[in-house]
Amino acid sequence: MDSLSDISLVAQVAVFHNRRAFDQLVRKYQSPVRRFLLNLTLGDESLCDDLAQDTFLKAYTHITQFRGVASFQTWLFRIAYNVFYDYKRKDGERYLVNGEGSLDSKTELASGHVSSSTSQLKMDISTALAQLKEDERACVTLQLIEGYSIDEIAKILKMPANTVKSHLRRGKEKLTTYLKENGYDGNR
Amino acid sequence: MDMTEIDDKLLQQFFEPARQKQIEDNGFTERVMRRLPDKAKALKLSNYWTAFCLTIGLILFVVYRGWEPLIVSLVSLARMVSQNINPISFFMVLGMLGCWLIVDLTQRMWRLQV
Repeated sequence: MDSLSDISLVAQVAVFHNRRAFDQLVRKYQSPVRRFLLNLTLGDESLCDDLAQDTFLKAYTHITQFRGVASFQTWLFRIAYNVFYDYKRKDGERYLVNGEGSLDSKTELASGHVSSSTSQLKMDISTALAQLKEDERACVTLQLIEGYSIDEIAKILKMPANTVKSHLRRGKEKLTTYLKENGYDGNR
Repeated sequence: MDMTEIDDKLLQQFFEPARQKQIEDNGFTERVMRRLPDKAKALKLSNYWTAFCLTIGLILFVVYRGWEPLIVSLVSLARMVSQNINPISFFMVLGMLGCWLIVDLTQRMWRLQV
């Protein structure tokens, strides 16, 4: 039902240039798109918002290319990843240096602080994700935070499913090692 | 319990807060809507261009007496059609044209509303 209402809104945007329908789509999907980009940019809130705006602008100008094969959110995530990838190719090296991002502007969202009553270390999701290579980070974010299946991740990132599996395995291994080394045991 | 299972559990717990977090809009949608290209403006320009081409066409039609060959063609076409017209095909074409006209009019009315 949800995808049907999305398709109806998309049709109104594509055929009648209905801005109100697009407004509804942006409101509905701004949170997952911004959360995805925030994790990709390691918590850089202003950059994430710029990229998210570009994502929705591209979605608007290319809305007729949405075929409804995948969900609208999957299509948006694909655009978001392309926007991020283009940005990184042009200008990205300044904030991502060998997987260790500048984490000065961490946000409330990115700081998934986990604390327990005793000596639980404050663990930051952005810091943990910074341990990963970019493809690994994208795969891990899409699976562990956004809840996508391997096949869907493969479609979003335009990678073979086996490559996604490899990235996920390596990413999860690195994260587990990192969390354990920093004293995170999952108990609250 | 094997190693992979322990890892997954740990990671699921670690990412739980991020999974549940919703980002507030805080004017984001308005900022996006302000930056949208104005398709209505583009539509206006395209209408001006259509009107311009139509005017040129009309002038050429009058200058070169376009109605003369048109009348000749129409008369010969009418003669040919009246000799061997198929009513089924005729009504099918009429129906198709009617549907197209209705869809086009609806679209135009929608655009005017938006």
